[in-house]
Amino acid sequence: MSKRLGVAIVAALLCSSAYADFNALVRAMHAQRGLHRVWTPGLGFARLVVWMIHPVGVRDFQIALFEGKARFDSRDFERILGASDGTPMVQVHSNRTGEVAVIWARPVSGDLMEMLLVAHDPNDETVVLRTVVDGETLAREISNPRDASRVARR
Amino acid sequence: MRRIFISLLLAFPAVAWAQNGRITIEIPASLAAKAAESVDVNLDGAMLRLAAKFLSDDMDREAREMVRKLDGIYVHSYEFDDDGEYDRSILDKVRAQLGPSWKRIVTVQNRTRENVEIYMQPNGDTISGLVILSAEPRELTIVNIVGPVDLDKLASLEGQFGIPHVTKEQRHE
Repeated sequence: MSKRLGVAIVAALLCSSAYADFNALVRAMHAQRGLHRVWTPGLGFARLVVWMIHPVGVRDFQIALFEGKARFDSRDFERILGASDGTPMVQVHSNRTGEVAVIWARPVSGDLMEMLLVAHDPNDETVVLRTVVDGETLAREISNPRDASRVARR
Repeated sequence: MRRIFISLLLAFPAVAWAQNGRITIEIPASLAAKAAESVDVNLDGAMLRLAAKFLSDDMDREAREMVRKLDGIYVHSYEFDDDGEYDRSILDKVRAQLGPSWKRIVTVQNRTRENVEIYMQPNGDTISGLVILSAEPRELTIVNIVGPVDLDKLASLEGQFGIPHVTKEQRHE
């Protein structure tokens, strides 16, 4: 019983810290002049569906979409999160277009991984995504890191 | 005596670090600022073990097994718009970090095109780490693979995790 309780507490702590990171990034985007959040109706329902049927290996997600012009680089995102998430697993930056994609990941339990992803296009949109995925989805995304920014847009 | 003891204690982690095949790749911020595109991949052992279960079917089972045993894959890749836009002395800095335990096993040199160097750190009958330096006129890639590497299976990692194609046939595709 105490072991289960311990596992539950650890899982809750891990999730709450990931929620906090997601929220910190969203708050920073909100505070940025030139960016405004685009609210997508039905996201709560979509999340419920994801919890139940786990499409393409996704077990949970939170997403925030921002439109407008702003410029961030990967270090800005790391500064926002502080040291809580450690080194990003993948960072892609293009000086040609200003696009940045950063992925942090950590194991949750079993084959599940939690990914926090920011895909930023300075002239178009910025996506902040927190998702719990199985290892297969993770492997697919890291097999070609240059395509990482497409993850959020799908 | 106490100072010596403290110095030894401080030096021990650095020695252990160097012997486990991991190198510190210090890239100046100016290089990333100059690069048209940059990719950094940091995969530690836990992440690799999980990802290895699901790697593409093209990769044979033994190669997956090798990935599962690795302790990390670290890739820094920079692409530039013009030839010679980066200072090649950065490679000397990386080479300087490779102590005497590292052996150069492959050198491909071309005055105008790519230069590839592969270093390994032998550990008895096995290899505990590998460093690949690939310097093209417009592209610089530094790869550090940490853990037991099977050289026969190394080619199967090309194109995965941001590792560049180093074998000739694949590069010309």
